[in-house]
Amino acid sequence: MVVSDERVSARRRRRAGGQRGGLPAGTSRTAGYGFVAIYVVLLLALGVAPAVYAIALALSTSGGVGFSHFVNTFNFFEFAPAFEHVAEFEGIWLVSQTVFVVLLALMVHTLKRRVSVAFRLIFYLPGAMAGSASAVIWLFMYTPSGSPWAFILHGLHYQVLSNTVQPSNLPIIFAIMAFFTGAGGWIVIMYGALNNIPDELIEAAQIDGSSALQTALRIKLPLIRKWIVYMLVLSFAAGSQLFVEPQILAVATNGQVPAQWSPNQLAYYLAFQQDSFNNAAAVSVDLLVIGLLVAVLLVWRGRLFEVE
Amino acid sequence: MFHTVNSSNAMKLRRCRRLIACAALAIASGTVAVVGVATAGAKSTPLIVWYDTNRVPYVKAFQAANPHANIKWVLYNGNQNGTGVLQSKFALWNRTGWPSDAPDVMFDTQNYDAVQLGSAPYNDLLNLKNYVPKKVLNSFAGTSMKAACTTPSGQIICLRNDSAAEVLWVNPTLYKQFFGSAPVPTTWAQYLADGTALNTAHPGYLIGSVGDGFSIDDFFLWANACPLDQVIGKGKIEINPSSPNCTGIANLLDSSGDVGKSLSNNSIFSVNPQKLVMDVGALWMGTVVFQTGATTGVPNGTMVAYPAPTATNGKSTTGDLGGGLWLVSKHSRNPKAAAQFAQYMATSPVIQKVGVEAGLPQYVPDQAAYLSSLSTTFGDPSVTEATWKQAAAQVWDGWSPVPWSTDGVWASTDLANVTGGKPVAGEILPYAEALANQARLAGYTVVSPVKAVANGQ
Repeated sequence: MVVSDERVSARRRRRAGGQRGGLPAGTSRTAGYGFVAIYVVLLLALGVAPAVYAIALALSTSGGVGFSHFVNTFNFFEFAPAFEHVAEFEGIWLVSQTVFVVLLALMVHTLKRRVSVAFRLIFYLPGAMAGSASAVIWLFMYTPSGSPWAFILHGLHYQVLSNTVQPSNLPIIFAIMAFFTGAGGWIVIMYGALNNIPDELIEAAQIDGSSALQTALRIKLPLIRKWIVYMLVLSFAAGSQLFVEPQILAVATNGQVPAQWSPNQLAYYLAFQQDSFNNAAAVSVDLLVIGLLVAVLLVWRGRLFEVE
Repeated sequence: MFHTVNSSNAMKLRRCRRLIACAALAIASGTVAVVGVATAGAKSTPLIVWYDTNRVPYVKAFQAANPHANIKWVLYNGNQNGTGVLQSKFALWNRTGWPSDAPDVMFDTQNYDAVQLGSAPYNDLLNLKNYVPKKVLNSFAGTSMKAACTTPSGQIICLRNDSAAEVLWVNPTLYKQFFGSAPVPTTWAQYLADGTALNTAHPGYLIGSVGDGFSIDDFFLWANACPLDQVIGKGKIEINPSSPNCTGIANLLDSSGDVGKSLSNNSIFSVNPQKLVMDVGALWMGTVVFQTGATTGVPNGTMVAYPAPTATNGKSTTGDLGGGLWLVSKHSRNPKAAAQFAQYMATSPVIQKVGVEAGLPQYVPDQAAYLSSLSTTFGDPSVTEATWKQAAAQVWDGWSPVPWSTDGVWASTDLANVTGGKPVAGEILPYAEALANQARLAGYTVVSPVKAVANGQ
């Protein structure tokens, strides 16, 4: 969706290097700097420069520099609802994703290796259809006349697609879509994190009489805490920038999902349907600030960058 | 005629020195143009034209009639509802400069686009007033040019292609079966009463659909002259949900008990045409939705068009859904040729008789020939032809083109409520408020006698 793999993998690379402490034999520091340099160049060109441009656009007014575009957009009738929609969506999605991902990863980790491989693959499969593909598949799932889950939709008295896609249902509709596309990948990552826990530690706990449940809650969970925070930081940013799913559903339902449902859609609408780039930039900067604030909060409270 | 010299021949013509040889080459190539566009074409920059899949027959007809015209055809989605391709491209080009492959002429399926793309902050459409003769401009049906192609300041920023006026489609076989020799309804009350009769006597048979974002707002509110979208000056819109033209039709719909029964909650594109006794819909729906265009469609020659029911205020007005526009870019390097091309496409009988799916030409001189081609397509051709012609001129012009989709607003605000069983009358005010919000977002001033709509509270 929004998070660039480049950034994630670069961060992981640095983390891996940091955890091991020293440099593996046969590598030099220059190679490391080389890789970081490539990342920094890409980050500056594709991450920092557009952000700076957006800030400049948002602050430049006809009378010089000012906050009028922020005030303007804040007063748009769609502004507050768009943020409310996304807050509701993130509330449902982040909670359910965190609970199920951690729970399933812990359960899979207790299984025998061969069985757990099969389960991880099954969990991961829905994630293969990301973004637009998942939106199209879920559109089909939500249509009472065509869905394999029609009996559930009929049970809710939904006879036509416009019943399912009613405004009050949208946050949960997008949360379900996001959950199935994202959860599998995170289960695999959490499983990897669990595998990093030294066997001696778990054996020691078992020798001391710790049950499977106690081991999971008292030993494993605290040791993967940073990974959970990491998941939350990335998921929050991705979720607050929700765009593809509502946009496709809006087109597919001929506008039943408003074109300004999420803040990112509002920004897109302002820029590309109203030719008002300054206002669009102001909404984007709002999103950037919120994303950064939440990330800083989570990193700080979750002690993400502390080295034990 | 529309002729341009294609580039290779133009080069040969420039190179040839001897008079006789030149004449021979010109005759052989057959491309020496007679009218103004030729000189433009000789510069060897082709006109770039964007068209959509439904306009393929037009392109073929054009190519057959003008085999040597220097035109680069580019297929796109026709700026289909909700996609805003032109809006986004234009917005970007206005910042970065217009590239040489930007279109000169575009076919656009959204009637509200021209006003948006032709006014601030876009201002990207050519004022055709200076290029298309007044006589031609005055020959478009009824108020169709005023309705979609004229800015409040009087610029002509597009040409209408086809009419998509609303009519009452009737399947005479089914109608006779259920209502005997009773005449086809001419008022909303009669039309809805027929639906009520079907609800109990023949459940499953339909008089239409309310399941699309356009159903109630275009075919009932617009047709009944309900003033929820009336531009009354530059950047000024009047929205009056308390008008009896709005409440009257909504109350009729509710008291009939037809919504969700004989007025299906399903999209008109997914109801079974075999069950459709009547439908108020656009004139292009006759073939596309009810006859050959649907897999379960009724045979050609079945459906007959009658005038849409008279409005509750007693006037003969009707609604509209679709119908395309020809737009010319202000940034065209060859505005004269581009305007001439657009005029040719919108008015030439060579183009405008192609395919009934394209709809009735808005250009009145082309209508007779087009209508006579319908004789085998619909039942009772003389009635259908007269109805179409009349409907094209009766579209109520108080439902103005605006830079937001009124259908989209109904879809996101009211559609789920109506298909979920809530009364239509309760949806008029929320719809008006949502429209007012969209208007303010686009920088319009909202005038309304209803406080909640005027203040956005």
